Amino acid sequence: MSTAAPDTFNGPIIDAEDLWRTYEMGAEEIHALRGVTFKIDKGEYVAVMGPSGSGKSTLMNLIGCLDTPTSGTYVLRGKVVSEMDDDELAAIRNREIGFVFQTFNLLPRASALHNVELPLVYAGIPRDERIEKARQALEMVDLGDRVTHKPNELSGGQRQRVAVARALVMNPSILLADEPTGNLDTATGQDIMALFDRLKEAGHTIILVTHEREIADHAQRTIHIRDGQIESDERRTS
Amino acid sequence: MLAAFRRFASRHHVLFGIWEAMGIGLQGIRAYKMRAFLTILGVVMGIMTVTGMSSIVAGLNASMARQIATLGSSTIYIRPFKPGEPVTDEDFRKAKGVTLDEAKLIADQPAVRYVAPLQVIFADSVKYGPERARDVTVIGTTENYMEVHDSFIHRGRFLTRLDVNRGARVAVLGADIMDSLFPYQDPIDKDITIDGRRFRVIGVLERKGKFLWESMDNLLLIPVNSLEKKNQRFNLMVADLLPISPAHIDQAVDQTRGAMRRYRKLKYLQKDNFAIFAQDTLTDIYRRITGGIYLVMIAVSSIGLIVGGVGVMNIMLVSVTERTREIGVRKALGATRKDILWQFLTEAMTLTGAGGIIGILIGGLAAFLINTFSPFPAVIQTTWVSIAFVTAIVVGLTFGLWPAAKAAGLDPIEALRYE
Repeated sequence: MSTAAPDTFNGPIIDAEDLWRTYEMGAEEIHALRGVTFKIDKGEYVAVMGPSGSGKSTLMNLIGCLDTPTSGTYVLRGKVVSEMDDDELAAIRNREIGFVFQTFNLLPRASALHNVELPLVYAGIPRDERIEKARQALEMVDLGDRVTHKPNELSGGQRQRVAVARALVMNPSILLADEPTGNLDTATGQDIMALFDRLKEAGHTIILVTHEREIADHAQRTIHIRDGQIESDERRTS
Repeated sequence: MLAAFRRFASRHHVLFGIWEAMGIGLQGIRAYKMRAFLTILGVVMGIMTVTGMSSIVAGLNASMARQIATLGSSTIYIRPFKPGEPVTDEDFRKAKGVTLDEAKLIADQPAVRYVAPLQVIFADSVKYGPERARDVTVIGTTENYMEVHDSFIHRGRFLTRLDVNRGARVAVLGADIMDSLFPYQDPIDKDITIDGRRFRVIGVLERKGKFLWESMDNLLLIPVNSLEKKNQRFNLMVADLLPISPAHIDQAVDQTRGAMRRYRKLKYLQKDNFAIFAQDTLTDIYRRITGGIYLVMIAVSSIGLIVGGVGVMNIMLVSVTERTREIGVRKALGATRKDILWQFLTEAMTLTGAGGIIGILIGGLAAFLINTFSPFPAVIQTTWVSIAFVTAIVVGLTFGLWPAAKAAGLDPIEALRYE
């Protein structure tokens, strides 16, 4: 990737150690995660799979720094996320995580360009630079000619590509995609997966949460979650 | 200008956020025009009231100042009571009117140039042939009236000392009376009847116009000695006087007061049983009245602003709920609590600020129309307009705080999951 900054960090991107996440439902305690430990290296393409209720979403929230573990340590690019406060988490999400959602989650009344600009806004980047970067990101997902379009003027695939551009514009450490093809037809889903393959080739670290075997097969590594624990962690050498 | 601000704002994070949020706020207004308008209606009303009423009051003030000048700005008034003073029954019993002898005495004071005693009665009807004027102010006075009140003769002649001394049955008409009694004829030397008594018209006063909204031409002047003696208790004679120069107002007041006290043999500690005051006292009273108007204005606009503010709070709460998902996305993309708080606060302020601008425009237009098509003068007050605008913004800030805090406090996971 041409926009990738020279990275001097050599350790694992993610180092998760014995992650527990417990919710209190009235008097009852529900353990969504029961001691999850794993590492993800730079440039890996990992699929996280599991049935609903397995703790998959909880794990994704922890990886995405939307939540902190009840116990255990989560280290993202050398930074201990598990002890951060709200504002620090926001900054980490802004710089290190690129989210791609199942439902795209674009701002409906803003243009594609403005949607992609949003993370840059919260990073406090000057306007001219923002527009420049957002434009580049949109070109990267082949939407250079759609910058002024609003989400409702774009197809589903195009919307998801805008979302990918938005996720990449800050050049984050990981691209975290939650069922990115869940709202797309098969052909368009294939396009998006092809885009992810390209991003992987370009050196991006991708974490893909899905329940579809075919989608997970794009990744070189698959982590299966069941009942809040890692059931299997398989690497495929392709 | 705008571009310069953009450049400046983009270099400063908070300002930048405000700029962005203002855009978002305006987008919201554009998307729901009717809803936004209804929301800010209260703010519009409040700000409109401030703009409009302050313009009218200021206009009245200005025209008051002008008209006071036409009244003869150095005129001194002798009355039974000071205006605006609470009067008890006892005061009323003790009060005495000015007598003609006192008037003469006052005229002899060195700082006094002219004294015009005024015996004011209200005539039920003044008639000439079939024409009739009702509720006319009849003033029994002397030849000095003209000088003291800065009046001029339009036609004929004024009262003379001779008329006054022998109590001649002659009358000088105010312009309004001439209009109603002599629409097509020359009034000079015609005989009119004032409540049944016959008087001969000798002159007509030049039109004075209105003082505030009351005509100053609905009067009739006759020699003070030609008045029928009425019950003095309820019809005290008063006097107006003119000092030798505007610089001698205080001296004239002091000398007159001294002369009156001596003549009435008041003891050292006894209070005056009359009142002497100059034009500035009237101006003060006027100020008090306009102060009251300002108070009403502030009360009315406060109600409007509170109603508007609650409306804004309501709509912002709805907006926060509607956009829960958006808030979640923004947080996922790195927005801090403060970013979200500012976004919604700025939206609220944009909303009320827009209401303020609309209010100012409507109020300004109203002031303009009133100034053009009604007898009230109106001058738009930049100070009050600025205060109004700032208040509108503050209302947005105050009433937007709770919804904005609610938005800022949302959990990103919950917000992202919200349907």
